[in-house]
Amino acid sequence: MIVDAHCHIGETPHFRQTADDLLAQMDTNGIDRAVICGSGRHIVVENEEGNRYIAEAVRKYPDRFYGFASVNPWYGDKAVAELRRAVEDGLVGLKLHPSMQGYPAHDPIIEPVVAAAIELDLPIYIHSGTPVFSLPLQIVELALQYPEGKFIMGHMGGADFYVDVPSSAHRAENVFYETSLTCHVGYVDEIILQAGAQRVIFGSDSPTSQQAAELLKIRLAKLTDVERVGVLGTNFLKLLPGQLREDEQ
Amino acid sequence: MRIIDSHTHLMDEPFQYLEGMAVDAFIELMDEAAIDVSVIFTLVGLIRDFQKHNDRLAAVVAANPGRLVGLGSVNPWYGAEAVREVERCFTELGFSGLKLHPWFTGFLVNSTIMDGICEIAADFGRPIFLHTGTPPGSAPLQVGNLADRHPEVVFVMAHLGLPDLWWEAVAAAKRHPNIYMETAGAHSLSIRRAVEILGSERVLFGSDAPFGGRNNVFFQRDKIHLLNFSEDDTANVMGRNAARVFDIHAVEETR
Repeated sequence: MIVDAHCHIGETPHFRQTADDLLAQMDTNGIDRAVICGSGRHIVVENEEGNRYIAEAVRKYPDRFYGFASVNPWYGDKAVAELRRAVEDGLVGLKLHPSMQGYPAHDPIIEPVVAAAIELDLPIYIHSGTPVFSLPLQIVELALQYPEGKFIMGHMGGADFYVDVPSSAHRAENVFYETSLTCHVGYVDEIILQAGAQRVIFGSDSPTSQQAAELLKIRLAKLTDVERVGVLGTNFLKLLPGQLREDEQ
Repeated sequence: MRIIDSHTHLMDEPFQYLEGMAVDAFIELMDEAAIDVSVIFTLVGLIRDFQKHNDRLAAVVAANPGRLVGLGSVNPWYGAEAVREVERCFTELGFSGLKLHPWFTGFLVNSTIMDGICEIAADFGRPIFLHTGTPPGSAPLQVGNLADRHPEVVFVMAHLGLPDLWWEAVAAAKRHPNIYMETAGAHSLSIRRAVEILGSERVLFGSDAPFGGRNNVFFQRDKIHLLNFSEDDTANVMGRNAARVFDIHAVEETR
């Protein structure tokens, strides 16, 4: 099963994508399931509206989508309450974007939201690579503070801040690396060597990148067939409670 | 369709943790990926011993006529010595332009140490290829500021501003007609928007090879094909624009 661990629906000044647009792209590319996150203002300010929009798409296509909630930690107790409500509503992960939401990834402002996500057993996806707020080493620092958390480093440092990713991979085993937008196939090869393929997760960031292009990147990476099955789906599904049978673990 | 890869490095010796790629293997990889010509530059020459590294590059280019086009590199902090080397790149070494890397070398792209270099490039009508997308020295609007000061020089922004600053890159190129874009490492949305907003005449395909490993060339190439541009736009991006910007017809004719 191929799972795309990072897609967006909604709109920003630069794109617009509906759940049906994404499904059509998934069908073209043989992608069985996708994680959907909100976009633009749904990540930053209108969290409840965004989370309801995601939950509605998940209810419409429950076999195809996993929904991740976004809450802005600057809303404090309200952010924690919204996360709990969104999980009740069917969402299964937390997506944070420190550079859009405005804090360094290891800032104390994030702590109540991260603690709640850990209590709810949610994987925590954090955008990375955009200085000064979403840097890989800030995420590693956060993961060291919360060893029981399951952190997905979105874009594994993105472009040039990839330089800090392989050298810190041994420091926090609870960091997983999502491959969308990372510039080169060789960067995927390198993180597989440094972190092990079981900590690497395929994602596309559609519609910013294309699923076909991001899949090609994984097909060209140095992986055994077994490792590739993991990167393309099971490594991510292991982070979602109850998604894999015991024999698939 | 002729394919010109506008962004490659001479890395035939190990560099940091990278093992490098021999020149013959690099040319074979170009054949396999159906790349006709690669625009190539040094790596260590961006930092030190640039005369030595430019000489080596010129020898490799001369040994592969019709397949490689060289861009010279200097560290601008060397001042008059760097400016003299830029002139030597265009006279003695026959390079088609310059490649500079502000964050890797450690200078601000729009600082005054660039002015002497830009003046020589203007005198010889040669383009300057610049890494972009990384603050605080290689941000695209900083390149815009430099392009505003040197309107007679063509600047090519490598990586189209990268995922974080691609909108700066599009803004800078929209304002300054002497700015072009290159696609290595850029995401699909930024390449599509650059072609829509600036026109396909302003966007050049590049791979950054051999960075990213052997297979990366195929990924960088096919990423463009997956955008399904018209045949004409695709031909512009994949080769025609680079032929014009780096004067590659002229290079072939002199050989």
